[in-house]
Amino acid sequence: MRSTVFVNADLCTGCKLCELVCADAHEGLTGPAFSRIRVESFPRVNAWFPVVCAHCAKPPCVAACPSRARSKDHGGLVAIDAESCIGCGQCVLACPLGAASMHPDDGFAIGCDLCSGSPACVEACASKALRFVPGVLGARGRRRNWALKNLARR
Amino acid sequence: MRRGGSAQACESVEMSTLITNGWAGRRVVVNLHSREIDFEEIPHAHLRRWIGGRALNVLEIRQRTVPGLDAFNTDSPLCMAAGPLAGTLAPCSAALHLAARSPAAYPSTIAMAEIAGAAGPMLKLAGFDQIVILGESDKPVCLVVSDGTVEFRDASKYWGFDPASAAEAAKRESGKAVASVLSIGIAGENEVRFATVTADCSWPAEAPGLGAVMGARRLKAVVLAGSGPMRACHGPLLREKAKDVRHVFSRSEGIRALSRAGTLFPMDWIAGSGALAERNFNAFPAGKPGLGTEEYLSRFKGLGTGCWSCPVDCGRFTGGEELTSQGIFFGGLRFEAAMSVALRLGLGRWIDVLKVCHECMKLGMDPASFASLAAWLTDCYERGMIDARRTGRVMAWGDVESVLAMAAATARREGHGRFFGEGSLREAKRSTDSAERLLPHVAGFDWPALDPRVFKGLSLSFATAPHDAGPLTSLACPALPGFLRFSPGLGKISGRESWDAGFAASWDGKAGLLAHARLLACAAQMAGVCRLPAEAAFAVSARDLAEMLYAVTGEEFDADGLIAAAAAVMAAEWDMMVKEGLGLDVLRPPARFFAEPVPEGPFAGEVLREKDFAGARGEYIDAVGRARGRGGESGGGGSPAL
Repeated sequence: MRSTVFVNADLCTGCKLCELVCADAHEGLTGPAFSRIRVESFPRVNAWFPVVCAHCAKPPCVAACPSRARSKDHGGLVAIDAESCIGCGQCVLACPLGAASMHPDDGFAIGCDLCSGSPACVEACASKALRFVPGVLGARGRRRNWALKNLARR
Repeated sequence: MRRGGSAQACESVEMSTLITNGWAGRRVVVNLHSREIDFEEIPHAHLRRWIGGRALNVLEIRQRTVPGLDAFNTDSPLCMAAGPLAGTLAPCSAALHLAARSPAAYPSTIAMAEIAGAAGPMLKLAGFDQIVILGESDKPVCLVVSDGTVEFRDASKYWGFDPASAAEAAKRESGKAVASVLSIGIAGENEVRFATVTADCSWPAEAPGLGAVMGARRLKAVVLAGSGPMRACHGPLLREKAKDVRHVFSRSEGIRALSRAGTLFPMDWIAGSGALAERNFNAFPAGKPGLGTEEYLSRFKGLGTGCWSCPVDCGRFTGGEELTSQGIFFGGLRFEAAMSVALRLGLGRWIDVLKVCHECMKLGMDPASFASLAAWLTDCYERGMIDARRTGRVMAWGDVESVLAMAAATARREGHGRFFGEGSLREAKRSTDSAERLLPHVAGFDWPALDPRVFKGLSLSFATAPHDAGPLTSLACPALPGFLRFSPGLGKISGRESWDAGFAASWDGKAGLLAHARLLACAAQMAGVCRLPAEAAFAVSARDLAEMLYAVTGEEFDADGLIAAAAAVMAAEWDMMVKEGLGLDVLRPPARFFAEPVPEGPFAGEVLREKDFAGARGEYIDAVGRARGRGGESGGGGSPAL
């Protein structure tokens, strides 16, 4: 059963606390470029969109990686082997979400590791725009939301 | 202080790779005329003593200006500073403090504002604690501050744009994907004395006039783009403390109210309190149920948005079908703007209030100051003191179209707008003494919406420091009925178990309450966090600030020392005002509120009395003085000698 961080952009208020705690959790510092989750901002229209690795079932970044530094582990997580990464940036080009990025200092690939099962970004998100749920439950939640939206139109 | 190199057009300073103690340790001084850029190191002892943000700005203005200097003089600096907590995990650490000499004040004195969004962290992560802007450019310019570099960009292409469009254009042309942009609108370009600076397309700085200071220098926008990194000295401690404060926020009724409705949350009480004074404080309706918080939220959405690292989300975007069908969707509406436009102008419908606020913000001027000007003109017109030759149009209460046309003319300085752009007091001074007497103001700072005869705390707040009596202070100090429920800590400070409407109209405990709120707000602004959670909801204490400062900087701070430093900064601001001739005889509520009692309603007969006011002011000054004395010579960041 694959787990990911689910994003409900409608609830995001653009506080970027997720970026802050992510950089802190992984690097012990703050700076948006060090975060594995990034919030795209459209301040004029009050729109904010957190972008984070979806740990795809068929991850293009894994396929694109020439040094096999990126791999899909048994739990469904897209893992990065820092030792094997050559810093070519192919994963960044391959990711359709723009969720793959390179470390600003050393130039090697960084990505969401779900904080060993307890993502700091989800914990910090006061507006509940980020949720950590197993994939199956996530789909169920989406089905239910979709059904409720349609029922409301009746 | 050591001066770095200076150069033309673009200059960079070698960045240390990591800020490790909250301070970048340098300021950049930019001259828009000569295009010189100087990087100055700020000594650590200076930062340790004055912390940052508001204190750095006040000291810089005090050092670089002399009494009597005009706000538009190019030697008068425009300062922007962040505190050591900016850019860290500390909750609400988004604040950037702006200060300059005020074009709105008469005579000019200090103007200051807190900018929302992400400007504070962006400045810090770009490698600077402070920017000081001098001189006047010969053509429209945009200043781009990014990761140790400062450069000038031509802003001619978007000169004439509204603040949001200008911010978008400036950000696009700077090539910075992650940036915070401060911009001005047409009012600022035309040096309208109550023009504002707008952050990130939507959020106006609450102090009127700073937009005119930028406009006079032909500075259309400032792009702040920093990528850091920054590390707290005691990371795990900061993580824990930040978590604790966020936990307090989650339990605070005041924070919940702010999260739900933004700063508009007291509108319901005010609308139903019977303490309304409309139409330039001449009419006293029993209530205004159509102007409550719930009405705003249900019809106009009031969508929440948050600043950097802020779980409160008190920013509000206003939309809803009625407005969006007219192409209006805007952010940045605040309590003071909405209240002033509604009450001063006697507008009874939310949609009219929102249209006027939107128009003013699009033009880049302060809705509250504009409402004060328009209300005074209408009042004088109705009394026959001035005629249409002076106003350019027939004036009538509640005439929205006329108000909107007047706003546009004022911002563009067209027709009679060339006088209106000078602000209400300068316009009033062109009239008779009796007409001038109808204008509520303190030294040119327009009086806010609430009636000082009823809300005694507010009268004290404005009279003691009009430059620091923005909408946030007025939230706490009127002691609104029911407010105690939202800020239980205030009961302890004011010595009351319950807060009713009667308390709002009394002087009881107001001096202590105001001193406490204002010192806390100043300490927060020095540390680099938003004053609102501290001042309006009392959800952040001086101890919280001191502990977070220790975690970030590694320097020992204590609550008393922090408050003492804040008191010293407030004393410096007071000193600057006194040197401009703004002594106790000038800094006082308008004379009409001492002479004219409230004629009707539940607060009929309430009036300001000289003896009561002087007593409360004395108590307030004593309270601030005592706080200043508690810090000692070296402890906790405070200093009794400025």
